[in-house]
Amino acid sequence: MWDSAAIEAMRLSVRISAVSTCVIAIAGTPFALWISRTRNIFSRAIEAFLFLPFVIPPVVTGYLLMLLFSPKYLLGRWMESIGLRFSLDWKGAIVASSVLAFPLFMAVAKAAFEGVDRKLEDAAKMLNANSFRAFFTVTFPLALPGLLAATGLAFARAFGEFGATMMLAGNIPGQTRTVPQAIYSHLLAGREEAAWILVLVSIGVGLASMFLAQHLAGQRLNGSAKGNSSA
Amino acid sequence: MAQRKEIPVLEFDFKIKVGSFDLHARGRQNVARIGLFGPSGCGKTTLLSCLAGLLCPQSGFISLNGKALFDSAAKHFVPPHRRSIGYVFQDGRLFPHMTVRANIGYGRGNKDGPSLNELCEVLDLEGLLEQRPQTLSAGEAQRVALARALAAAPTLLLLDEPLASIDEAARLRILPYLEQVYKNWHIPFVYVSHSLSEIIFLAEMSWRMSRGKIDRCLLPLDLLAKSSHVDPIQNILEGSVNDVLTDAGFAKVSCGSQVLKVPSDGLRCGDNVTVALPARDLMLSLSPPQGISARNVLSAKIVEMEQNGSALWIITETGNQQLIVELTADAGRELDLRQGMPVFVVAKSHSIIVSSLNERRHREE
Repeated sequence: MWDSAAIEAMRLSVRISAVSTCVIAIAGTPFALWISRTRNIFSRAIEAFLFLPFVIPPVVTGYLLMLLFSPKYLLGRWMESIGLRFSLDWKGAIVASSVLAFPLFMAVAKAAFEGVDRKLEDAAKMLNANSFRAFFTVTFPLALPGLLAATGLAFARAFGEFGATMMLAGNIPGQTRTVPQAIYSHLLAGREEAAWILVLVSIGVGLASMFLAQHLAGQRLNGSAKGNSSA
Repeated sequence: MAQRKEIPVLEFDFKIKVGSFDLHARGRQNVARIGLFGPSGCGKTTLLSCLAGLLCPQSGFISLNGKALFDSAAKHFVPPHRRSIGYVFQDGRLFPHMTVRANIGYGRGNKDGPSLNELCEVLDLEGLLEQRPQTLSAGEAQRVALARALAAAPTLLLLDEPLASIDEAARLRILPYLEQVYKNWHIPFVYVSHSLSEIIFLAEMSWRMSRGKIDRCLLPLDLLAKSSHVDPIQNILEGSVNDVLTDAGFAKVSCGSQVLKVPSDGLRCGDNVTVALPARDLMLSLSPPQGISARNVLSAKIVEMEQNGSALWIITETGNQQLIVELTADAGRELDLRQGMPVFVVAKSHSIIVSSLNERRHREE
C-alpha cells in the first residue's frame, strides 16, 4: 500500500508546500497589513491582480507562469543565465503553489488585521509607545490567531495545488510529482487503489487545516464572548 | 505620593479641517483643572486629538510649558509618544489580550509615576488585577483606563468623556475617584463632557465650544449663563452616612457642614457616598418654611445669580457648600431675589440621588 512512490510524493508535497507557505507568510503578512490600511487605486489594483489566481482557472495561471519563466523569453533566459530554472523543476512547483495559495492567505490575513481596532494603537501611543512598539505589542498579537489560520489554509491550498504546477513544473517522479500529480498519474494508469491512499491523505491535510483555522477563529470569538456574558 | 507639580501652561492656536468640519481652536491656560463643554459634534474630540498628537493640524501651533509640540511655521511636530500626555478615551480602549495588571504596566517607563499599589488603593482595583478587560463592568474598565494613563506619569491628562457610556449610578460612584486622582497626584487635566454637572464638580474653569470655536468661561455661573439646552444640572456632593433610620425610611448623610436626609435604601452607616441634588428640584424660601413635607431645609445665602432665557440660575452658599438652584425667571421676580440675601434651600429626600462607593464591597459580602 505505502509504496515508495507514494511516500516520495508525500514528502515532496510537504516540502514544497512548507517552503511555499513560508514564502507566502513572510511576504504576505506585511503585504496584507499594507492592503488593510491603504485605500487607494494603486493598492486596490495590486490586490486585485494578486487575487486573480484565486478566480481564474489554475491552468491559465500555470500557462502564464510557464510563458513568464520560459527560457525562450527574456526573464526565463536571464534566470537561466544565473542558474535559476523554474520550468520542469521543483522550484517551479514552489512558485506555482505560492502564487495559487497567496490569494487565500492574503484574504484571511487582511481580515485578521482589519479585525483589530486601530484605535488601540492610538491608546498605545498615548502610553509612550512608538508606532513600532504599538504595532508589535497590540495589533500583531491580536491579529496572530487570524494570521496562523491564514497560514494553515495557505499550506492546505499549496498542498492541493495541481493545475498550475502541472503546467509549470510538470509531473516528473521524484522531482515535481506531488500528491495531486501522483493521484492523477495513478488514475490515468488505472491504479485506483494506490490513488485512494493519496486521496485520503489529501482529505486529511485539508481537514486538519480547516480544524486549525476554526479552532483559532473560535479562540478569538470565545475571548470576546466571555466578556459579554459576565459584564 | 508625588509632590505638587507646577501647573503647566497650555497654549494653542491652530486650524484643522476634518472632512467638511473646520476647527479653529485658540486658547491659553495655566489652570490645572479645565473643563471642556460643548454639544456633540462641536469638535471636542478633534481638539483633544490635536493636543495629543493623534491628529496633525493644518496650520498654527501648540505648546505645553513653552515647549512646542506643533508649529506649522517651523514644520515641527512632536509625535504622541513623546508628548508625555495621557489620554483616557470614551470607550476605555483597554488592550483585550492583556490582564488589567499588564494594561496598567504598559506605559510605565522608568519615570516616577504612581506605583501600582497607590493606584490600586486610590482607584480600588485590588481584586481586578488578574482579570481580562472583557470581564470588567463599564465603570471598572474606565477606572483601569484611568490607572493605565496615570501609570505613564503624564504631565497633562486628557479625559474625553470618560463617563459617557456609564449609567447614572456608576457615574456618581466614579466622579469622586477622579477628584481623588487630582488630590493625590496633582496631574493637571482637561476634562471633556457634555454634562455641565460633572464639569462643575471637577473643574476650576471651563472652555465652552460651539461650531468649532472656543470661549473661556468661569465656573459655574458663566458657563450656565452662556450655554443653551443644557441637561438638567445636578449639584454633586461627597459625604458619608452618619445614621440609618430604617423604620423612618431615611438616612442622614453629612456633606461638609450640612446634614442631608436621604432615602435609606441599601445604605449602611459609615458608607462613603456621592449625592446629587438636581438644581431643578430645589426650592427657595425667604422664611423658614413650616408645615412642609420636604425633609431638608438648609439655611443659605445667595452668592450670585444670572438669567439665561426662562431659567434663573442662583448660586447659594450653605455652610462650606455651594448649591446651584434653577428657578423660573418669573419666580425670581416675584420673590425679588438679590445677591447676598439669606434664603432657605428646600429639598425633598426623594429628589436626592445617592450612590454608595461601598456598593461593590456590599455585593461581594
